[in-house]
Amino acid sequence: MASNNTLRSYSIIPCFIFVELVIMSGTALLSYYMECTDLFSVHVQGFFCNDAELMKPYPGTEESSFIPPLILYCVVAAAPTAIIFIGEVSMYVMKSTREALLAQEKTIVTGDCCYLNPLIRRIIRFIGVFAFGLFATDIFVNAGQVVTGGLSPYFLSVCKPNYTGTECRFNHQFIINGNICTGNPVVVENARRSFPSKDASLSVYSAVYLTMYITSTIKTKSSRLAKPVLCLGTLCSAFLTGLNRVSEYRNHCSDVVAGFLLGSAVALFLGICVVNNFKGVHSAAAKQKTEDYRGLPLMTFPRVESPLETLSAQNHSASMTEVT
Amino acid sequence: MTSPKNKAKKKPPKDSMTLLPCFYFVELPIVLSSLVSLYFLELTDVLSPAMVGFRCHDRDLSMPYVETGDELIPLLMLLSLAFAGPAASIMMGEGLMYCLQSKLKTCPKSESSINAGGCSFNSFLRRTVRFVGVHVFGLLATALVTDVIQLATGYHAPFFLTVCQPNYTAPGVSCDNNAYITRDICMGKDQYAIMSARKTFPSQHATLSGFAAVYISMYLNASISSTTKLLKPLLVFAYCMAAGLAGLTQITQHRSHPIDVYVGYLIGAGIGVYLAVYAVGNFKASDEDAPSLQRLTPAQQKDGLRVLSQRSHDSLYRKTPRVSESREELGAGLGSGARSKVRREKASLASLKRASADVELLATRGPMGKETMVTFSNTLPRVANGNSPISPSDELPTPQRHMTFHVPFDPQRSRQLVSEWRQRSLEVRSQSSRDEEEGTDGRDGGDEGGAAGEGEQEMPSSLYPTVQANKGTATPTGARMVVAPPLVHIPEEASRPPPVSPKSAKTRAKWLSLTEGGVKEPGPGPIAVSTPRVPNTQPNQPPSQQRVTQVIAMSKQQGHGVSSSTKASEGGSSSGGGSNCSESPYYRIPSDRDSCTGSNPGSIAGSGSIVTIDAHAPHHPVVRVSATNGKPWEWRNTISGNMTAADTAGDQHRVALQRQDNVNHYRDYRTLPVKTDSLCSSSASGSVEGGPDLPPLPTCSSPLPPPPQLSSPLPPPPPHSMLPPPPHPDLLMDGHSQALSRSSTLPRRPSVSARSHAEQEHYYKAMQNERML
Repeated sequence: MASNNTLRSYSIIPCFIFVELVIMSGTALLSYYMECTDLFSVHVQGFFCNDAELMKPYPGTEESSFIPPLILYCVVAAAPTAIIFIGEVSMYVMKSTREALLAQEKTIVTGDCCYLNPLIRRIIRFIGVFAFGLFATDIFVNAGQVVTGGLSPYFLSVCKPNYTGTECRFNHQFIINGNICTGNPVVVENARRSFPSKDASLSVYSAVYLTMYITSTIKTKSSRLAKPVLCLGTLCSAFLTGLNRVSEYRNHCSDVVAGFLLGSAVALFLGICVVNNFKGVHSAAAKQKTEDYRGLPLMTFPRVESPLETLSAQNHSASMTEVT
Repeated sequence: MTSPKNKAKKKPPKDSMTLLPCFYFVELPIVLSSLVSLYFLELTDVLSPAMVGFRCHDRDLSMPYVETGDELIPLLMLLSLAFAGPAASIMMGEGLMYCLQSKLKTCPKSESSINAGGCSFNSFLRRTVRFVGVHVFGLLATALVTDVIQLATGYHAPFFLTVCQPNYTAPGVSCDNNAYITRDICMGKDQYAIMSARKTFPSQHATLSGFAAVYISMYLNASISSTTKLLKPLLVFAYCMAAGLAGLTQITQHRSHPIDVYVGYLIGAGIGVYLAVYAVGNFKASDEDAPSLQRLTPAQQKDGLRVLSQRSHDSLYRKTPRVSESREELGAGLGSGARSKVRREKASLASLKRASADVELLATRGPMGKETMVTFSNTLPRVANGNSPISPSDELPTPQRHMTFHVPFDPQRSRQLVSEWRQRSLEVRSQSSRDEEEGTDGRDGGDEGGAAGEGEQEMPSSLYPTVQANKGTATPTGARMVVAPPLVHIPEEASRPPPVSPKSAKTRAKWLSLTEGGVKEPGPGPIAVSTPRVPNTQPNQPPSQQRVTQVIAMSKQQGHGVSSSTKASEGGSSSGGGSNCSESPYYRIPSDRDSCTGSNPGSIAGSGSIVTIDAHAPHHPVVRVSATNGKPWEWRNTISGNMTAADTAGDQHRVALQRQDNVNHYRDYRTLPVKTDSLCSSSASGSVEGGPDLPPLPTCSSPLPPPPQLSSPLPPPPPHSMLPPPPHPDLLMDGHSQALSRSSTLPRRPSVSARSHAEQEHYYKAMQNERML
């Protein structure tokens, strides 16, 4: 079993360094530029004269919010990482789940000294994909904000437009030139970035990713309520985070909904198409291999029983654990 | 995703006569017609959008108008981007895949190249053309759908009032009384802008970009392997972000309402998903589906048969076969296992059923004792299996001679041979499963005419005498070979001293040389019976000839030991002479079925395995082969060597078998009277009365005294030695399966193997069902 479970690969480390790390660092760099620099100037959006939608009171800076962005980002980034780490380690430690784990993954031997056992591989894979998704979501959100330049509900409160230059007799008068603001330019700049909501998309992304991880990997036979409570708790907190943005007049409702859709879409794509529902890569290959035996007569495959039975055993255990 | 099956076999290029015509006359006209209609819808005023009213001073329609040329992403640029981006990446991906495939041989999808019209289209070309073509068609279709919906709805763009400049003071229009204006009061000069302001739902940008993004995302998702975790999401996100921004710019530039863009995304994504899944099969290799399905069906058939045979075998094994029970078992097996419409096999199943039933009848009514009955029924299937490989009788080149060969079988040897033969046949079958099916068809069709075709198809039943007898009578002219299983417990009658003639010796020598030449497969025993069965569709072919010679050789080899042990017969009790009945002319005349040697149950019981090649030319001079071997002991020694290897359980009757082996059965027709005696005795032994199927032999009315024991060096075995070895129903099953299903490898432990096989079948079926779903 041990010999079966090792795989010698010299390409995994270079592949990791030159592909994954480059992509990851590029993503992180892009999100950093979008977030913290003025490299991409916000599209200046016009508005109607005295638009009631944009005249909500200014709720104060982001830090004075009920959910400060610093705490939100830390929680969004740290909670799934910690839970994935703990879950993987406990799965590896516990005997019952370890078998299935080892069946799915192989120990990679690179060179003479380096052994990448399934634990390390899975942790790096899941957390790395999660971090990539976090950056990608941030990039999506920033791009949307920069391109659309959606005005936040408190825009007119902080902009204090100078209507003298333009005649604003009718409410349907659209002011194309938005640069008539007299308020604090930094606050006005922030007020122009509203669509989609960053907090909503980030929180929903991490919540959905975490939920998928919990649902597909952690199997608790004894307690049936732990898993739903955990999943629903994370999803609810993400939902409430979005709603809080609306209730604090920091975002429109459509912004939050768009953020929800964006975050969940990214998380679902990563979870289903990239990490294969948090299953091992080799399970799919093994299944395919056994399927190829199907059409041929049994006699030509002297060892045909073993793959079949292993597969069936896996299916049995999987179904059993899923049922309970 | 990677399928070693595809890698393993290089697919030969296929010839397709329909590829190019189909492309020219179906695909191209469709694309061209959609292109033309798109041109008319987009760039001409053939169809004007529906007239929809608007509110006075509607704020949502009063957005500033951005000139068409000043758009951030003009329509032309969007079209070119939506076409060029995915097309370029598809080409790059396919080219990379093709290079890797030809270089590393590890590429998941291999698609056979097609020869059409003298040109060879390799997989790269085919896949690229297919995917890019579908992409182009999808773009056109999306644009068409968008235009149609835009014209049908006629909703106003946000800049409508800006370009329309409605004349609110026109007569009959009063914004104070009725704010909703349905009349065309536009005073704007730019008719093109007004026209475009009436076509906004859904957004053209959103549909096109959404389609392109979804299509290319599905392509990337299907083609990029998961070894690099981040490459796929990077590309997919890049395309999705581009598509999203292209749509969002429409909103920010007041070209469309947000709802237009969102609905446009949905429409484009829907078309993209549909085309990617159903038009190009989710970007998988297109040829995979058909062969897999083809392979699926025979496997299923085999499964059903196997289950069935196992069940019948179990029933045989556990209890003395009773008619009703055996039938029940078979029916159940058919119902559960062969539920998958194995129609063709049903015939053989029925024969099997009848065989078992008849066996029971025979056994019960036979004059033999209770034990004999049991042993008989048990022995029968196994014996049949041993002989089954030889049975294809219609393939025999008609020998003009009338010969009967008695081939004594040792059970262990027969088992070996059966398993070996089974493997051979399996190989042949796997190679040409198609041929097999055709062969079965041909078999069925040729039943009425083919004398022994039936015998081959219903191999298990062939042991059953009546069936074979009927078949044999059906075609008197055809050469027929009937194999009678060696009866373990009933000793060979060996009533006559083996005649020795120089002529026969010569022919035997010839046979020997022939067999040596013809026998290619290494067999554990000197008898090479294990020739792979050739599909019956080609009746007279070298292989069949080979088989005949082999059979003959086998019988001859057996003949070596004959001289020594003709006497081994305990036949006193059972009178094994029935085998010869066919040779006696007057027996044949009254009823052909009775006359045939193998058909007579008595012959089965009495003789060792009998190979009768019946040319059915009664008028022909009968040529008998008498085999006397100068060295009887060599043969015996080999057998005994085998015996020692065998398990001790069956030692007793093995000894008996050994002796039987040594019996030589070549008979001279001149000695007919003696034979008839034996025959009659055999018939008298009670097998004749067995069933309605068996008409009693008219000639055998008078039981003759048991044939005298010939001088034998070996003492007759003790009576208990005559008990047959433990029944091997699996052998029966195997004999059955050799014609129809996969065979089980383990002849020794029938029940265990059966069970494990059943489990395998279950898993197979489950997997297949999943696949099918």
